[in-house]
Amino acid sequence: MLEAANLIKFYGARQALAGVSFSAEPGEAVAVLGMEGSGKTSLMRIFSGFLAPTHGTVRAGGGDPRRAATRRGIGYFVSGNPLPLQSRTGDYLRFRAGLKGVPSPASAAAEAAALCGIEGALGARIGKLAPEEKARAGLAECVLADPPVLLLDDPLSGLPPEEGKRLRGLLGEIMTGRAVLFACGSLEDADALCRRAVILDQGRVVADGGIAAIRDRNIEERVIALEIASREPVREALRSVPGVRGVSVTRLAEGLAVRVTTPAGLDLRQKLTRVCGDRGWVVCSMRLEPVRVEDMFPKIAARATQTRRMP
Amino acid sequence: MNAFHFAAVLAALVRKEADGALRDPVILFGAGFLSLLGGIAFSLGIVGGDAARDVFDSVILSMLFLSILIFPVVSMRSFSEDSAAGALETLLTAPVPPFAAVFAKYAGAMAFVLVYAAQGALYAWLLSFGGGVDGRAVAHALLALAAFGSIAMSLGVLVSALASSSVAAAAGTGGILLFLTGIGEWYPSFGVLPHAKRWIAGRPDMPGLAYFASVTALFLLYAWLAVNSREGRRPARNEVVRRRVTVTGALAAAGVVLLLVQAAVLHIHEYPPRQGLLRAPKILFMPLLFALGAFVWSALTWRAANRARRAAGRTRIQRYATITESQVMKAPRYYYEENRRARRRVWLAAVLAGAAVLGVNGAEGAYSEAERINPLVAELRVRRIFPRADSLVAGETPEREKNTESAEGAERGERLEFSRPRLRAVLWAGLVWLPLAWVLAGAAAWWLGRE
Repeated sequence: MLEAANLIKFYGARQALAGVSFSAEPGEAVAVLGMEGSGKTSLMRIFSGFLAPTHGTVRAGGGDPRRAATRRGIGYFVSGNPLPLQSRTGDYLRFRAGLKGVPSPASAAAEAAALCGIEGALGARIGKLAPEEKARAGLAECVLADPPVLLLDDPLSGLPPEEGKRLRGLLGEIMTGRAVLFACGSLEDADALCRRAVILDQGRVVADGGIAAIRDRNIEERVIALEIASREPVREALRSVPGVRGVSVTRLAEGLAVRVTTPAGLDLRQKLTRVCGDRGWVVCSMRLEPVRVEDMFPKIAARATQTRRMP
Repeated sequence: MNAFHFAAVLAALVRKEADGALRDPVILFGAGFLSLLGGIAFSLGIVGGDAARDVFDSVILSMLFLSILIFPVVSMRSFSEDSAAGALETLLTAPVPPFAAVFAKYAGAMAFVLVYAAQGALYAWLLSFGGGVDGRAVAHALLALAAFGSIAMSLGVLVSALASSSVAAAAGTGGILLFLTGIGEWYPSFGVLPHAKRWIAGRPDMPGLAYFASVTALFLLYAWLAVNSREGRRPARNEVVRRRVTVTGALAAAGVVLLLVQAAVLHIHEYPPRQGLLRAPKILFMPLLFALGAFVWSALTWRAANRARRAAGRTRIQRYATITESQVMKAPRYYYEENRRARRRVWLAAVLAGAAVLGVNGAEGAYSEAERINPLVAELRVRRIFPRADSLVAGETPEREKNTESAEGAERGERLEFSRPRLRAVLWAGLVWLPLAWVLAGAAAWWLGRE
């Protein structure tokens, strides 16, 4: 359904992709992870048919995406979501439905808007929509012709955490049953929506497999962030919990912000809660900080370099 | 994609683009200002007591010149604005072939041209109160305006596809349009103005039609290529070097073709009977320009190719299939797309299309020039077309020309005669109501779009 074979892409003399190969079956969602400049957007643009690869072949939905007929079966969320701000949401969706050859653009637009929860915003100008609504409008455009393939280039980018969480629910819904490439910079988002990840570094695939396995293999430490309503010195008490590797404390107006570093495979949240409770400190909040792709990169990149150097 | 679906998609795209052009307050206010200037030319003609046809011709010519200021503003929005907003990616990843997107931009801009040209019909209608202009002359003039607009808009779409900013696109389009207008003074068959003037004067001819249609088609073809060659859609560096080699060859071939076409035209018309070909330097101008261009291009190409070869330490261009990953990293500029042959064919076709357009118009120009230099050619032409009309080359003014002149004189008619209230109404309409209509349309567009 989605297939890249030895994709190489140059922009002039600068190389963006250096032999990327992978495939995804129908109904499979694959996260494409990587740091900025790793080649994620170039890969998505080649799959969408916007760019031509310098070398290699790409197939999406069973055909070459450079052909207009193939692109009818692809829903593409463009990085940065560049929608026409002056257009009304409904007009824009109807126009795009017309371009996709949907028999009844008006009803297709209404259905997509209902699916994405923006029925009430159809009459509003896109420029006036809230960031979450704008992202939903972009996603509605993707699902207009019920495409079997979705290419989502960082749809959660720039959204506040709460809105991002809500949008993740919608993404999970529209990704079901479709072959999806989901490019993003957050491992947490990828983990919530996909089982498999392809990680790019300098245009190369440095890891391809189950997200949980990749994380376990490449993350050494996790951080637990706490807010404690107390002025007492907490560092030593928390440091004494077996497994804790480090504690940093910042004074807030009403209490302390504490970051506790632990080994990746060890969840110490219950133990930390107990220690705080024993001393009478009120824990206002506690959360396991999401793993960012950047956190895994030193290890993944080092391993990839080592592999390449081997004869 | 079947034909019906394609037509529906194209209609949707054109509607959107036309909407954008006709609802832009800046464009409408600008058109209002130009309409005011046109109205001044119109009023001065009437007050000066000119014949109806003279007033009409002068107002249409002023509309044509003034349109050089507004047409680039309309066309500048097309690709450069999309590109700046990131919307080009959305457009080109829709299931629409790029040439449909290019054509839709052009057709949408042409909607404005048609509305602008329709203003000429309103001037003719106003003149009908004082004597009137022949309906056929009005149709020819409007056709000339639309044809001029067609070239301007296709050029605008091309420049917009090449430029990164809207302002640069407008300035570039305006500059080239001025050049195309001005070159007519020196080399009539390549200038837009001589063709348009002939049409406005009521002589819509085949060379003019060939000129307007071929140049528009050429600009649209190049715009399509430009869209497909934007950053990232372009092939790798090595392909660029190869393309330059191809273009060099094609340019040289085009120069030769052009020279042969012109020589053939001159030979068919038995020119020059007794003079050397060098007596007509303008005839040789285009082929010489081509030859010079080909030489410069070829020098640049080989310089670039040699530098690239030295950089990679290789002696010949290597095929991708034999390349290893480490070589890719060491000498990236040597790797080109697998579809290089198809791309080369497209570029070759583009250059040949350009040569054909220049050839068609150049041949016509060469003939006209020959005709101007040697009256015998004109006589021969008449003799070939009308074998029995020997009397036409006897040295007197040909009957055909006499007829044309007398017909023109009749068309121009007498001076305009208005009753006083009608004169006031016509002047008000030309000077105030027409510009005001544009301004009101602009205000309405601004009001509706301000939410």
